[in-house]
Amino acid sequence: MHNWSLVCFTLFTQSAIGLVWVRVTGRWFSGGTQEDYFVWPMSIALILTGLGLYAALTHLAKPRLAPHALRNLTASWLSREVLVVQAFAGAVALMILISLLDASSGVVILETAACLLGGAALFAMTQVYLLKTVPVWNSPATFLEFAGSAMLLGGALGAVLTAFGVTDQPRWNPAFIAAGIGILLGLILKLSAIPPALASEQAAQAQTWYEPAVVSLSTGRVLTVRIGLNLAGLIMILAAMSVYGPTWLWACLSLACFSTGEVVGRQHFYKAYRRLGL
Amino acid sequence: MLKRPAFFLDVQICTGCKTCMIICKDKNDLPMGVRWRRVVEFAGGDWVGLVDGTFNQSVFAYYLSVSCNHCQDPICVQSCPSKAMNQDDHGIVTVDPQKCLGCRYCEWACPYSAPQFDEALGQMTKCDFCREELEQGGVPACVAGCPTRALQFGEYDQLAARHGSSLLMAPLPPPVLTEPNFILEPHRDAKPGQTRTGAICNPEEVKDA
Repeated sequence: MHNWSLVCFTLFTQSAIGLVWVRVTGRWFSGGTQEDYFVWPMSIALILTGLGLYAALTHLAKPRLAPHALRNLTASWLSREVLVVQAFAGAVALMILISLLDASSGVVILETAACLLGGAALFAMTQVYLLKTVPVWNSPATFLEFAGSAMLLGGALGAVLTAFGVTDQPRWNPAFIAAGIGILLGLILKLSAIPPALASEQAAQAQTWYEPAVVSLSTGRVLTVRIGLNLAGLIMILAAMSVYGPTWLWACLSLACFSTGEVVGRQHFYKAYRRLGL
Repeated sequence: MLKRPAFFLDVQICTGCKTCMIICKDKNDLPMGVRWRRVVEFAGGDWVGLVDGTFNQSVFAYYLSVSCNHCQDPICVQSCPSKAMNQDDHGIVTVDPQKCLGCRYCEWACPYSAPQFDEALGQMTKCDFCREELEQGGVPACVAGCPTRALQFGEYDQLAARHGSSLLMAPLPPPVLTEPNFILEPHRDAKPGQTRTGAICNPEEVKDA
């Protein structure tokens, strides 16, 4: 099973969802006055979603048949996931267009729609993995992990983009504060995912016959690496909020730490697959 | 054509010869790594100390020939995003090659490893109960080839009435997950569903490619 395409799809899409949430919240904090640098982060979110969907295409053995993926909306969460992620991308694209046209009255509706569709995409993405035959994934940890990734990566990306986009005191900008809150929420979600994830892995070991295909790192080691990287990322973002050194540099280092931890964690998620039965 | 066809396996007399597996591959011209029917060897046991200080052994082994069970509640059909996996009026689950994207989501979900990915075709393939044989009043190739007649097929209700419908036997998954159309005559040493007292001894032969 090739995991990289799915790692890219889930992480890119979740980052985009988190980025939209963080930036829209930041804009609401500031009373909707930041249109001048709002388009750029939304464009990044759109590009990330596009890259995610492209990665999902490369996962298919027959990408030319991809339009058929929407045929089973009544029963398949995979169908629903594809639809909702595309709708999210559409809402973000419209939001960019409206912002560029300076039609500010429509932006609030589209912002709300994009945030809600982002939430729906995250929910559908989680449901895809809540298979009753795969106990290691069929756990609250999956939702906490995915939501945590969205907040953590979206927050870190939001911080980087604010640091580059705002020249005057970026660390006190509402968008930067919203990004910081996003990172904090993401870390809380990630921490709360640890106990159910360990429990589901233990349950899977007791119920399944086959070991996972390739185990390059044990769960304990993956957990240690991820906690270390997340701590490092947190220290960097705190440094970015301080007066020492350039904000953009600390924010970029923080994003690098969080992203690496997420890639390691997501690879482990897919490699831990084990199914009930034969 | 049967209303609800089901496979029946008498585990007591299955010798694990794998003729069913080979005949299925031969009839359907399946490439290497694609196994619509697999024979699982489940074995275990150890020395057991007795109260008089002597030892006895508890060694056991039995074989399970398993293909797609054309479940009543097929998880592959529910999960397939393109409706390539579909179930006909008789309950037979097949793949439509014109619609299969090769996403392999059904492979993740099925607890019997029934959908098998064919690298050359770039799509999932699976047992179709030898439907054309059934339509002509014949029998599935695996059933026809079984030398001990351990593997049979028939109407689910009749088989269930004769042999019972319990499938709580290691290493099979809990039947409540998908309600398989599969009836077993258990082995005398059959272990309960989630036992840890045995192991699949031929994982290379039966695991997903």
